[in-house]
Amino acid sequence: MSASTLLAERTELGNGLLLRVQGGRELLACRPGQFVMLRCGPAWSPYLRRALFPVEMRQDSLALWINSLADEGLAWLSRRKVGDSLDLLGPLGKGFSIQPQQRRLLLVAEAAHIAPLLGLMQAQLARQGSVVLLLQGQTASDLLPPGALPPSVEYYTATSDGSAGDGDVLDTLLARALPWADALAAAGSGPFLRRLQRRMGDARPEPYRGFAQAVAPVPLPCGGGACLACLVETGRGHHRACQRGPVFDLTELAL
Amino acid sequence: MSATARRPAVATRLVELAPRHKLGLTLTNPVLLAAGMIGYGDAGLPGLDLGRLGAFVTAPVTRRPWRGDLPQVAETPGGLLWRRGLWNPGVRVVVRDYGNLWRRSRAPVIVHLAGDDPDELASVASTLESTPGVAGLELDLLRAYHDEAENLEEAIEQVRAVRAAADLPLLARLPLSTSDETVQALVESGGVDALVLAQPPAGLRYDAARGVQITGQLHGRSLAPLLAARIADLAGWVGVPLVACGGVHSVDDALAYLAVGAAALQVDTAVWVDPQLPGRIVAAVGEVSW
Repeated sequence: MSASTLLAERTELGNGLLLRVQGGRELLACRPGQFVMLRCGPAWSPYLRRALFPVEMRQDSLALWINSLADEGLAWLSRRKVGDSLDLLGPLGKGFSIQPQQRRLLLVAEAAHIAPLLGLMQAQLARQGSVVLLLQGQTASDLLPPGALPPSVEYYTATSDGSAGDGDVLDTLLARALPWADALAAAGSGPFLRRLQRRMGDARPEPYRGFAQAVAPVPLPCGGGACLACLVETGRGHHRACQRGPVFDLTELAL
Repeated sequence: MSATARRPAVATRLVELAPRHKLGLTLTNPVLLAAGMIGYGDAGLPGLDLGRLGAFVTAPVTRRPWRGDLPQVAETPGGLLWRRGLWNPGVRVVVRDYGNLWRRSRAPVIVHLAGDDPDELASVASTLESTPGVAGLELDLLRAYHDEAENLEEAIEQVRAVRAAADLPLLARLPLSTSDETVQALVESGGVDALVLAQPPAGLRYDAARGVQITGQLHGRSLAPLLAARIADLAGWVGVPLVACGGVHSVDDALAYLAVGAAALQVDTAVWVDPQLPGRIVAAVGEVSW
């Protein structure tokens, strides 16, 4: 829904900023993997809303994480003060679907893309499920500090420069964690998800449809499906990520 | 009784966009959405009330499925470049998938035809004429910076082909650069019920960080004064209703178009950011004496 929401809290999380917003009932119905569109400046500058994935949903609020200030709009958002109102639309799109019997959830992400998985992580823990997180960064400063995550989450990292774990989570950690999991959720760049698909195919020769879901690595400029900039190629043609996704079965994505 | 209490629930200001057409195209108000801003009617954001609109124009429809480079959006100061191309699944699939939506639509549906070949345009128009819910057609005519005489000849042929195939009101969307002489010749050739000004101009942004050029059609607030000036130029003599397309980012932008002679206006990418804007314009238009 369209809503004027209130910025209720600002806290630091990792190398970013966590903004907790309070809004109407529709907004709070947001599910993990869905997104909201925020207006990020006055007077059409910057022009477009920014798509953000809530990282935590509570009964009376949801939390948004800004992990980069390189974008003009997000930098503006990071300067808002507690008590400021925000112009927010959502929730939009279709989120993750985790079945009740899927108790052991493996999360695999590149650090810059992790936000939608954090919301899913919270939801899985809330229903007494288990979570393992494999996070890939370029360097240690990209990664969430362990203290930012609930203690019950098993957290493994790898960095390209070796500053916090060696190499590549997909080479070093995925094969060990996969047999444990009965569901997988991923978020990352196109090349990262393409390599994940290959590793999945190697490690689980049986079809893994329904086991692994991923957030399509596409921009969401309009949020409604009109601009087509979020087109995702699947085995069954092109689909608009903001309507049919942004969460897809990993097997569907032609990356 | 307060002024607010006297307002009608939905402001109306009837507008006729095809006075020369036997069926006409009468809208409850002059506020439309430009081509593709809500896809085929399936892509609106929360807060947009379709029932308050005068009409909406669909995304482009061609005879056959059309795919090209993946669409792209890039921000510019106060606007954006949108490279959409003609992406669509072809008229047969569009009608199959969205025909029911159009039939039930609370706003009249104007379908945006795309393509150059007169026979293909005629084929699409013919299919759409028999599709319930389609109130009119919009067609991009002429090409900016092309030879005007050749351009005009081609445009007249396209209009005749569409007109022969379908008896629906036809809106022609022209480039901003179209000369007075070409506008006049096009209108006098018959078949065009209203002129839409303008096709979004082509733009280019250089991304210095990546060293790449990004191209697309330019949308943004800075177009409003350019369009208003052209509408004002044409309004006195052109002889068919003028529809201002693009640049509208506030109620005042919209009122300015109507004040200088536009019969109606189309809101474009602003509705992606402010989906309640068209509703506010409708309300404001209903309160203004003309």
